[in-house]
Amino acid sequence: MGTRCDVVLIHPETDFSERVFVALRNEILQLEALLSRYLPESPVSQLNRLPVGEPFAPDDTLWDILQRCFDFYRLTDGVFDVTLGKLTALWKHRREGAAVTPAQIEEARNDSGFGKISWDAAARRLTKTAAVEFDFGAVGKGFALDQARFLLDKQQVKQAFISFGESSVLALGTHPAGNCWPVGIPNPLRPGEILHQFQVRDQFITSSGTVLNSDRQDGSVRSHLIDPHTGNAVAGRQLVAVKTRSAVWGEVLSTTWLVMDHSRRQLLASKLEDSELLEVVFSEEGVAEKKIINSKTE
Amino acid sequence: MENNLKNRREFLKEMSVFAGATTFLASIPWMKAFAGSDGSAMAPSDRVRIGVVGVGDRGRALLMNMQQIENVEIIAVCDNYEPNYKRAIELTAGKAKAFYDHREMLEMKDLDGVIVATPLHEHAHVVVDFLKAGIHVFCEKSMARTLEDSKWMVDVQKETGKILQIGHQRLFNPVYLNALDRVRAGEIGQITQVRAYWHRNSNWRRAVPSPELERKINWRLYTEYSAGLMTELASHQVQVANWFLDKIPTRVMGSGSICYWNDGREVYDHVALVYDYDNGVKCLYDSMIANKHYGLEEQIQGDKGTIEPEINRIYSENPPAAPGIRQLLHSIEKGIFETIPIGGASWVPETAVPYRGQIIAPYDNNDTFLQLVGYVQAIRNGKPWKNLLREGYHATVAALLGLQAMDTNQILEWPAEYVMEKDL
Repeated sequence: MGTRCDVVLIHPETDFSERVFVALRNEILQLEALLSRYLPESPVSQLNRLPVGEPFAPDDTLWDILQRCFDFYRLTDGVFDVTLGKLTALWKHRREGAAVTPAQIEEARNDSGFGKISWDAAARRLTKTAAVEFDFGAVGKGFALDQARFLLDKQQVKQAFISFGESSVLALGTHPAGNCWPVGIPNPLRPGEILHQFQVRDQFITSSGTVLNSDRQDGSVRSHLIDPHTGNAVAGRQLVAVKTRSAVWGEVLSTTWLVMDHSRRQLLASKLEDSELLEVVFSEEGVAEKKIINSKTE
Repeated sequence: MENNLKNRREFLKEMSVFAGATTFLASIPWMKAFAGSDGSAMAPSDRVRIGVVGVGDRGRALLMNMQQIENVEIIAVCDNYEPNYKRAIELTAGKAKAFYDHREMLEMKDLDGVIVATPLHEHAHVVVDFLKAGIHVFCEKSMARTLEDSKWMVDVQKETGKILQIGHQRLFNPVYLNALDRVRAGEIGQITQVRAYWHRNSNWRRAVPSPELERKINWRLYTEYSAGLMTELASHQVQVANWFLDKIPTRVMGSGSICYWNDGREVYDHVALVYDYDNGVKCLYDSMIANKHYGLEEQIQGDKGTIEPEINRIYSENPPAAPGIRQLLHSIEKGIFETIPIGGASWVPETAVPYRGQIIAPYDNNDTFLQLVGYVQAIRNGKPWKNLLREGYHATVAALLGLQAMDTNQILEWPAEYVMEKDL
């Protein structure tokens, strides 16, 4: 996950909180050790180095994660895809202002896509039919937060706020001084201005966008959201933030929403049970369009 | 070799910038060894001629590092163990004069300085012979097998005014120096404890070609020649504790045992000690050779942070929270129900390195080389670096006093006669 994680636990006993914190940290580090593509010995790194045609038997946890990711892949018509390692790297590592050529995209696309994984469900093994590289960057935090939620429930912790890099958040119970956790999504172009406030209680918030945050107030665009169908990065200045009951589902929604066209979004919106989604399109001047979509909107 | 030389020069150039980077660093006397030159523009008259006495594992490493320094010539080697003697000749391509007995070297007119890397119990008389002959000495740590011998060496150094430098290379290590600089600047607050350890998992034996050589080769295992873990490992780390605290311990207590390697050795394979300092701070020390999971470290612990110089890390007690979280903590503490802004850093690309403290200093740290550069420069200056011997002396005294405390099962006060005052 390679990102900062802040944990706020509300509990009368400090000793107990410390123990829960250690347990949480171990749980999250264990997941990172499994999914990281930066740790050379992680199973995912091994999987990424795996030669084409050679079978690989992931452990149960990784197998389940892969299966869930594959389900989401089918559900989103291939837009959510954790096998785009090469495409992502292509867009991420290009030099400032440098163009990505169609030939490069074509080459990376040849080695990308869940369709290039062949499954042997009985033996719980998989084989790559192209040099596909996995990248769980979009969804790892979601798995971690769902796991954290499970652990906190088990320990009967009722109030907690866990944030991964301030982009993926679990808000359990309520703020001690209120009836929920009021989580605000700031306007990346205007520091201090809140675009929308989510009332969060036992839910997750995650956000994604193509506009850089206010650290660089030039409104510059970064391209980490990729359309697997074209190999292109999402253009324009947009952001999406979503409140969900499952963190993984939130990550799937937030990373695919901006990639999808109108009809696909409508299809996905019909599955937004207990979810609330903020969609913002920016122009040079500021907010051009802001929409809140939830089960009631339909 | 050409390339190597270039790297060395670059390395020394970096070091010269580093040595003057802060007022504190510039105030460390031996940092002046790096102030100016990278060694490329040296006159032939600056040539330094060195002899090496004791060319075992450590002696060989020191010799080879010495060969990397410009305008230094190894003109003599000495070892009374035939395989080492032969190896020394090979290492110097037959150019150095070879001896079995160091006393024959004392008459060499052109010898500027020596490196002494014999077994510990031989250090004192060898070092004293050279100092009295007017030859500068770099002596591998620890200084000597006994407190009396260590004091004798210091007394003779004072008498002769020659250089006696003890091989505590961390004193020249940019990571340690940078860490100390940051400690003095208050970055980890007040030092409240030093916890140091050195763990290995090995029998600490060297292969012996025939049984009668056992005590000669494995001298580290016998109390006549060695204080075991204390002089071989602990002295390095207690030196670091003393240096960072800028103090020497007032007393020491400890317990030592042979708990695993019951193979006829005499020295402890497991030691645990507490060194007390006059401000109430303690250095907790342990060393053993039957588990290596934790390796080695000197954890410099302060009320604002921790430094782990061996792994080049500095940690804050309270790493700054992300802005949104900071605001949230404030609102919880004050009972204010207000919006928690997230997304402050949400689109900053993820980094490959998770937060596990920060690197203290990104330096290449061949400190063995650097300390020898310091020695050679001191020879050129014709006088020792101020207060450098003091560090090595107190480290040895601390190690030997610790051993004595364990051997006698007593809490021992640091004897006044083993305090070397700081030269201001």
